[in-house]
Amino acid sequence: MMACRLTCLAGQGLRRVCSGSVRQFASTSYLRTQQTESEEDRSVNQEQHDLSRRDFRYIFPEFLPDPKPEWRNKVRERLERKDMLQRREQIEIPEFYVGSSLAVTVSDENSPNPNKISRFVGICIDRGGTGLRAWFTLRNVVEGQGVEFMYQMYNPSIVKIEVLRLEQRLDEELYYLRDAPAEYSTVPFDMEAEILPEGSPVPVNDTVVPLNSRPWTRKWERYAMIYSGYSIENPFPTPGKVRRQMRWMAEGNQGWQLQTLKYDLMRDYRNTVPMEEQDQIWEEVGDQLESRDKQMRRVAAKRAFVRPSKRI
Amino acid sequence: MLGASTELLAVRSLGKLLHLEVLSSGLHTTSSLESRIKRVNRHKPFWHIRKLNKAIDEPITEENQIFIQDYIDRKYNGPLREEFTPWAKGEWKEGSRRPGVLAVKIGVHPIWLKNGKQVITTLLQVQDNHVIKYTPRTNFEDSYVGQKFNIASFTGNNNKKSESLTGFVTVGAISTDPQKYTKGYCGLFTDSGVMPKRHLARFPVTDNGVIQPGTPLTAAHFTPGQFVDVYGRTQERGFQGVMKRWGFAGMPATHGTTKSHRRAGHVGSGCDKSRIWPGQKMPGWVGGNYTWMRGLRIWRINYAENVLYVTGTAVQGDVGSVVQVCDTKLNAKKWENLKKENLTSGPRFFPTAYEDQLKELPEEEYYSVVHDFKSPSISLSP
Repeated sequence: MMACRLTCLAGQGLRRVCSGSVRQFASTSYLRTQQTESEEDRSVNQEQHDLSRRDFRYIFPEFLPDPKPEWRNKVRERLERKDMLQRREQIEIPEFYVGSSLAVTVSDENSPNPNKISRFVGICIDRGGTGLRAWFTLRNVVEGQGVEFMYQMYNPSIVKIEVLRLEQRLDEELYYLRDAPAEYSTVPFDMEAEILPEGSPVPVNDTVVPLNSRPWTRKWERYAMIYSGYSIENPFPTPGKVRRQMRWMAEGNQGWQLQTLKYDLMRDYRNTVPMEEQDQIWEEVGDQLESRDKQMRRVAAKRAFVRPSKRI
Repeated sequence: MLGASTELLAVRSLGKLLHLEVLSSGLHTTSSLESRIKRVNRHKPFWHIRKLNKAIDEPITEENQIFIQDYIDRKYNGPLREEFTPWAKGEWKEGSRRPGVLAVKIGVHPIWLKNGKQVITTLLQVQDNHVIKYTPRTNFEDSYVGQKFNIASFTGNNNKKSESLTGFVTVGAISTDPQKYTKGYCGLFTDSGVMPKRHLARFPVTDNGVIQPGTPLTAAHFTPGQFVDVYGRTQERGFQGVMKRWGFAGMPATHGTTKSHRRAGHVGSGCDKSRIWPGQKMPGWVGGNYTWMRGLRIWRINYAENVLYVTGTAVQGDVGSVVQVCDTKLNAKKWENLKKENLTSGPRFFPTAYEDQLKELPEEEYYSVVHDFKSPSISLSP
């Protein structure tokens, strides 16, 4: 919830270069492959290479282990990453963020399709989990009925994951779409994949969704400061609601505690894997991920060449 | 002679007390299973010798440190000392029992089967195991501990069927610095010539299941698809109420219930036995007891890292705890009855996998129904 905003998301050569922040190392890392350097240069470039690989924590967040120290074990994490890489060799698990539109095809024994596969399209409202248990949830409105599917990213029943529209939203979770008009959660099933030009940043979709009138699934008026993606016309229509909110925000209560979260450095520390360990992980898996991405891009480029991405 | 036998009788009753049969039979039930008094097994056996050395107060000079290290290196120059002639290796037959291993719980993973179903598995890593000792049955029964127990079968139950068990094999895991331990504890390892181990376990075996002391044990000891029993110490949960400890139902949250939502309620009986019976279930300490998880399947074995993937998340203890893993004793899951898995002729390597067999093994092996991540996505099309 309070995680940093994902404005910059590129690794050099791997993904779109961020436009907002200063990322000069991206170009120098490209140059690194062209020339031979002295030892000093190499260490500097290695550092810059590590810095750019640090962006992988946004692109492949499931490769970082759960930071809880009671559950951590180096051998198990290594075996898990090996399994994940092997699975990624079989299908493309693309880069996507909360707010992107995805299409997932799974093998389903109850499917009417003769090949026993079913396809679901939706907007990603949340993603989480670490390692082989990584999951994401897609939401869509089908014939007036809101439907959500939670998929396990490394489940071998998944035949294909396509990103139809790669974009981000203003928040990390979009559960408020459940209390918003249906048009904001609808993704057409026959939507064509929109391929972004090479090297462009991931666009941020800053739609602000107007919520329906109450009742809601959650007390959205309380989290208006935390989520910027929705707007409420009249958050406290009655004096009772105002009083309730005041009580909730009073010192020591939940609302007050939520405000103090941003000052809790130890909480952030406990919930992150140390940088040194992260670098080790990306060193272990980075090469394979990059080469796999190159393969996938070649395939995508061929496809894009044969069939134009946009239809007028 | 008579005096000796009466002494033994006194010891036997003492031994039986340890299993609380005398205590419970004096009240209202016979076997320990039906007894009202539910005992949990938390303490280490009385015959465990003192293990850890007291820390040395005075500092040791560098020369002496080097000398000590030198001595240790010379003494523990490797397992399977040359003067031992290799023991005969047994052949498997129905009813054989062989030692298990000591494994460390390193975490929990999902794996998927070829029909798409997910199985959560616990990873158990077999770390640095060696066979330490073989104790023949007569040696045990003539010892002080054996006399004290004096049970028909020395496996711990009055099970006459286990007359085929001819001894105990002691297995040790994770070598450490001998300076940490007492002389008595280090002396346990002189037979095998291995360095003192942090953890020890003993397994009752039949004649053909005996393994020579000093033999290393690995994950290849097991076969993918077989069932195992896991013995370990459960997680500590602290002082808990009756609902968590004994599964009581509690009382309604509303409808007038006064201050009794999670309480036990009625505890005593009226009339004749107007007191609380011994063994009444009440709040108390939960966890930290030694239990058996039986009939867990091994879905996958990684021979490179010596890791077993075992069903479920319920292996005892936290991540990092040491458990004993051995072939299951459950009838439906014993070797003879594993027709679907094609394991009716026993384990692939009996009594264990030796060096020449280990060399030929692949890095990893799956039970036949498990989906290998190297193979393409599951397709259910006919």
